[in-house]
Amino acid sequence: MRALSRLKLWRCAKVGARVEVRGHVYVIGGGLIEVGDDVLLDGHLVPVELHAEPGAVLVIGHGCVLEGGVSLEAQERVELGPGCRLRAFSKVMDNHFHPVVGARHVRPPSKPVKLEAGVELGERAIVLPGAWLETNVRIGPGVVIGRHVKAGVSLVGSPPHAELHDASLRDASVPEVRP
Amino acid sequence: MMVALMELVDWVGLHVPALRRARTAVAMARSHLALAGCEVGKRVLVHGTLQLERHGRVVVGDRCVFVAGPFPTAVHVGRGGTLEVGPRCYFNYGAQLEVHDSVRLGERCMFGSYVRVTDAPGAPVVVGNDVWVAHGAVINAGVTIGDGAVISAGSVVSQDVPAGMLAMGNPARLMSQQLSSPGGDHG
Amino acid sequence: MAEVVASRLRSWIQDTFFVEGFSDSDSFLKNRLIDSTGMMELIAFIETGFGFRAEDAELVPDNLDSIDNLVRYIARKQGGLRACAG
Repeated sequence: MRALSRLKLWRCAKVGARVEVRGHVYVIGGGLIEVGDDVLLDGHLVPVELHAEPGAVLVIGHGCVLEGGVSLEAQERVELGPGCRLRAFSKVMDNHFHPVVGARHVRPPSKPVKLEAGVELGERAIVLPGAWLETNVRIGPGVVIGRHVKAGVSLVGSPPHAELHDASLRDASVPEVRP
Repeated sequence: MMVALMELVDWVGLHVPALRRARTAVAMARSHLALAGCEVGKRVLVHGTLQLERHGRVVVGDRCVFVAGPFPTAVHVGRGGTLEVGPRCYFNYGAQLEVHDSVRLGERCMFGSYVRVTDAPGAPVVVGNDVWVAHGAVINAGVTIGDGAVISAGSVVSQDVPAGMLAMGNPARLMSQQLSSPGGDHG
Repeated sequence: MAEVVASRLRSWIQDTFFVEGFSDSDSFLKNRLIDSTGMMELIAFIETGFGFRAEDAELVPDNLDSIDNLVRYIARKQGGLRACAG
């Protein structure tokens, strides 16, 4: 099983110990992809996509779990810290691929994305270029976020609003909880 | 067997620049297979899997492209339904078009991965020219989207979007496209 | 009153987007302080915080793209609400 998993990730530059791939993983782009120890890529219903363009870096930290339909796209750098959990069909990308205004086929600059340890993305959540999600941030299902989020904050809804779920990580500048 | 061979040529062509022409040729051939029974324009390219269930009319304009990916693109047209896709439209993988009455897509539109467009009887969908629908957005029945509009990633659109506007959120709100950052921001 | 509104806006923007060192007249967009998804959060904040619903046609940079613009916009909306109530 483990040997088959490593075979499925043959296009990755580095694959850690005890990595498990269930079903299919779609690895494309030719960039640098590093998969840490004890990572689970669960593509048995829908493939997981790992996409790093030439020159880009995609890092999946130790113990991360990526459910089916998850898509990680790096044009420059996408980094997942240890223990991140990305639920079904969530997406992380460091480039918008098209500008809203101007020539639509001219690719805009990339903005690296970082998810620190223990971040959770809900189903169909979308993490946009430039996002930095600190430790233990929870992004709710369907939330679209592209900015810095402080440790311990949960974001839900559209537009996203904060709910504090980890009081031990609270500091004075955490946004107020909405009634 | 033929599909597997096409997949192999597609993959090789993707990674070996010298074989790009072969990849294009395969994609064109694939379009005729995948869109059999449809009115297909010139140089339509189907990379990867396109699942078509057709009980109505399907028109695909010249130079449309369906991109390959981890999830097939799906087109379902019910009895009496009509899907019209304008020239030079681009569909990323996982796009879903479900037609019961009428879905009309203009020219040069771009549909991101996992976009879903659904009409309903008596509630057609009309998308203008040069519209960009970003990843994961949902266009609901009865919606008209004007030329040049942008639908932000993950948005759910249930009201008309005038030309040139930016629709964002769930439910999507409308705002000026000038509210996107200069230098690259799809919203 | 305008100073109170500006202060409240600045505080929320700093806390939410982790940006500092910008003046009341600085464009959020040109200075990349807030992007379009951030604008949605800003709109929700001013609607909830200042008690009005922004019309789609009002969601333009002239109303939203700096603290000065926001203060003027909020004043107009709240003035309009008071006129209706009166």
